[in-house]
Amino acid sequence: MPTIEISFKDLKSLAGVNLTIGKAAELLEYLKAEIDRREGDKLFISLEDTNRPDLWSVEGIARAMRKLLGKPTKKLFAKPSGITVRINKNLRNIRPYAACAVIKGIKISDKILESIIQYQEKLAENYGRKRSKVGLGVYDFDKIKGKTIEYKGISKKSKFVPLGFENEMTVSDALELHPKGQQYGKLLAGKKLVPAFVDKSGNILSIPPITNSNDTGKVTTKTRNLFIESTGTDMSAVLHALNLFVMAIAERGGRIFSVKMKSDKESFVSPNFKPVKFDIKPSYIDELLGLGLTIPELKKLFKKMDYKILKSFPGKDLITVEIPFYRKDIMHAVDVVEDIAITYGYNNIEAIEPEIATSGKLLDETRRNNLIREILIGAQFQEVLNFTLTSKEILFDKMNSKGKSVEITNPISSNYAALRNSLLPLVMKFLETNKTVEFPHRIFEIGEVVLPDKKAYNKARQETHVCSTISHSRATFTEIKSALETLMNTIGVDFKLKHTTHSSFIDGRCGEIIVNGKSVGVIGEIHPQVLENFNLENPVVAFEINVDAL
Amino acid sequence: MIDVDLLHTLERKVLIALRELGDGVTLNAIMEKANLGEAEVNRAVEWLKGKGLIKVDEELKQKFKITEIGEKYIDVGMPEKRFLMAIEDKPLSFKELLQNANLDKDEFNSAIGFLKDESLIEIKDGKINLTEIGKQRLQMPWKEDKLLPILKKWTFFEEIPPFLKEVIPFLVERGIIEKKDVSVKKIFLTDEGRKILPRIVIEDKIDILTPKMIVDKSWKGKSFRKYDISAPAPPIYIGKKQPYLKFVDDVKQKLVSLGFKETKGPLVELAFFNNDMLYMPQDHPAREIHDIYFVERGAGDLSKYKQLLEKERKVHEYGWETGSTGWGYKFDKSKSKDIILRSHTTAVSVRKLLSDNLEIPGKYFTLGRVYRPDVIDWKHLTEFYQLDGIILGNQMTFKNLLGVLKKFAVEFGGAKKVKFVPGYFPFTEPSVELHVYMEGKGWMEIGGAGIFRPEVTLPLGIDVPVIAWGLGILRLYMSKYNIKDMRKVFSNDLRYLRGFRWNNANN
Repeated sequence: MPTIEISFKDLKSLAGVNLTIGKAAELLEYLKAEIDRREGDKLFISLEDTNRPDLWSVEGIARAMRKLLGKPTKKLFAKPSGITVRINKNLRNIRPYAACAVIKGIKISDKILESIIQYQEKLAENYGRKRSKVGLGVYDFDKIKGKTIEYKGISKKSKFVPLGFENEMTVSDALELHPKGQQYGKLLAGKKLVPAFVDKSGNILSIPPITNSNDTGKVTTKTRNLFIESTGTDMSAVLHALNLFVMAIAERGGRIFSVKMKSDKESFVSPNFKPVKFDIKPSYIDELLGLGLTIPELKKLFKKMDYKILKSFPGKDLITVEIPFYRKDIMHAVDVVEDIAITYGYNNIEAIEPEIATSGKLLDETRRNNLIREILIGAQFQEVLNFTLTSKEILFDKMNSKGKSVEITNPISSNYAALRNSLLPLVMKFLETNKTVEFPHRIFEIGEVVLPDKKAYNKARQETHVCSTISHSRATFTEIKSALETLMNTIGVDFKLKHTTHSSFIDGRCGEIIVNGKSVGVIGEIHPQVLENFNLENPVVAFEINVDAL
Repeated sequence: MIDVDLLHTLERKVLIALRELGDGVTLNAIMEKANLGEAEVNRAVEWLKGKGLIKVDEELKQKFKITEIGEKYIDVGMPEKRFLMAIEDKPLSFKELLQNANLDKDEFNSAIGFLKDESLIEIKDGKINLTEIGKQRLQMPWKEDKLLPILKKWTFFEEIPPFLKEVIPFLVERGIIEKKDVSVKKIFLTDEGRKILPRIVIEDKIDILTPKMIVDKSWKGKSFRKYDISAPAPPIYIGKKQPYLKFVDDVKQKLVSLGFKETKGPLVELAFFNNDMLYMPQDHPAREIHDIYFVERGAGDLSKYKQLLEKERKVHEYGWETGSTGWGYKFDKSKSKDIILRSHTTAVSVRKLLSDNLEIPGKYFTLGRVYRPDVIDWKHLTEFYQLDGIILGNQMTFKNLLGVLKKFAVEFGGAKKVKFVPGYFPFTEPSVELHVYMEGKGWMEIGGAGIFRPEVTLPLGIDVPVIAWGLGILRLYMSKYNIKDMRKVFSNDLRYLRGFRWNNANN
């Protein structure tokens, strides 16, 4: 979900309307965007729809707002520039796709330059997946020599002056020294060649997606004519990003010119602003929205979204809609239906509760858990809630035990790197946190634990456990056994205790809880070494049961 | 002014004892005089002090008592005495002495040093001789023999006969007796206490009504002592539900009453259910390590879902038979098998749609833990709860979706005003956010919903509209109880849990 920083003044001037901040916020809702915060003229806008990169710039937002307000928007078309870009097949396994455009006669202020660069970065970061799928570049067109530009793989020993540097250096050095090289160099790691745009006189214009050359790739407020390129590993995304970028810049003025792209396999012209045709059944719209909209009503709503009805067939359940090129998020008729609902106004739609008669029910296991909770609360135990994520140190080291847990490969903190395989360690941790709180401490938790299980489809087995502990200066095994007996008798489960050894408990004061011949849990007095590990000064007695096994 | 009627019988007994004993007496004296136990006197003294009727002065005093060693010496005598007696008749060598004097090595070593220093013995030609002073010493009584029996119980220094006191430091140093500093309380009446003293009587009023009194009817004709009902009572630490879980219980109950059946799913999930089935493209940023916890890449087993996996590949790549264009990228089945911690409970809704016992029409909900790699602070947790659900039925429209949300807004948000705002979820279209106006709090987003995309439902063979909704369960809870810090939901503070007030928003 990208967030962009824009000037409110700029937005109003581009939208061609004197908006209040309230009205702007309301219009932004139609675009699934909201004002996160405001600092004077600066607005920070977060855009929820990750599939609408056309809105990730002030230019794009202004354009969409003009449509919603029924104002005209700039017509987009491109005349041939006479420039050809040849795509070399030696980039096939490196970064094989490119699309380019030229804009002439544009006046660029500092503000505009800032806005363009922000959009370039948002497109490359989010839509371009950190430049791996798509990256974009802008150049001073007048400094490029000749009518033919080559996009090809060149040796890392080739030399050029990277943007922001004064001296010539090899590409390998630039990858190491240039900040963007350090950031994105890994995209070209292990490749013999690196992609480059090279003009007729052999000047390296850029090493996409890393950096431009300082000579031709520097755009300033004096630049009037721009060369724009998009490169990447996904053809349709490369072209789409170029189209969006060109559209946004053109909102600032200038004329758009197309570039002929040629490879050994195909040739095409970019940018491409051709709309897409979509067939929709009006009955489908009605099925989903239940609004009974007529064709003229639909036409009106479509206009606000820059759609057009090309054809409708009287008596036939079909219309053909033209979707603007920048709406690549329209994948299914359902996406058009949502736009209809949005422009109609969600709050203008009658909200009717569905008449579906069903009987509600809690899960059996929830009811069972609730029974256990009720009994333990009646036995004066305080319920607690712990995270299921914890550390191996708490699960095993502090408990004086060994075992295995399900672990995360990308933890944020070692304190939350393993899933608990039992409740007791975290309840012990709870007691540690509360050692200065008035005693007795009668604590219980019921909840999920996860154990490694090689045979399971997800290599894990989930169980519901309940764990009760009693701690005070004279806590005894008998006391916790009373609690266990009360619990089991009240549920209606017969059990036996069998002596067992468990390194967390005192030998001879620890038993397996046996139900129907199977061990379902453990009860005992916690070993003083474990108490010491948790900095506890009072005895603790505890039981833990796998309630799924009862 | 103290209401004399409110005085407890114990208090009365102590005051009467003081009336007779005078000021500056110890607790022991009062115990004896009033014929009360230590705990009773202590309680009464605390109460009386609290009421300002008496003053308690504390004085630090020393008490002595024999140790285990001392206990032994009562029977066998001090080691130096045994030492001297052994050589009374003739000098002995070290070895002989050790055998004859019934001394262990430690006793021998400490005695010999002391005896030499005091010139009671001398060593000549490897033999230990009794000196003249030693002989005289043997004729004199041993003070220790007298003192040790007295100190069988803790005894104040003042209570020890003066002529025995000189040996005390010596015995303490050698661990034969031990010393304890104790504070001795002395009780004095205050002016207030003195004033009411003449009016204190032991009335024949019933203090505690006993079963015996009830049975033998001895209560008849007597009156009951008046209690100070404003006196503080000790707290009871009752068993209690964890506050958030109690809220969850209420929410679940409400959903059941609205006709929803509860469902569940695993915490350790496969990317297939968490992402693919929800039409989230495999290179979607929400699927990266910054947004999902991974357990093991590509290690899950989907052999049970072979056909579905293949269908899902087609849906993602070109839309399959759903009428969608699909995402247009190359689907990687091994990514579907990534084992992860589920990042949203919508994964559970997918599992319900996939289950054999799915009912159409049907209403389902799930409430459970989800995980995100976030650093924990006041508004982020790395593990939290989500509430999700689905409603399936023929002829359900977007109007019905809004109807459901409006109902939720009233039931769960207590909302008077509701606003629907366009929203975005990868798996629903149309999508909507539910905003409610809460008195004193303003507009708040409490949930999101939408109709599952055909790309989600059709591969599952479901051709009726499915409304999917989610409510911000933590947000609702925190709003209801005015909790600002999300970490409090999982509070590990026993005082907080014990003190949580259900009817009070200031938790």
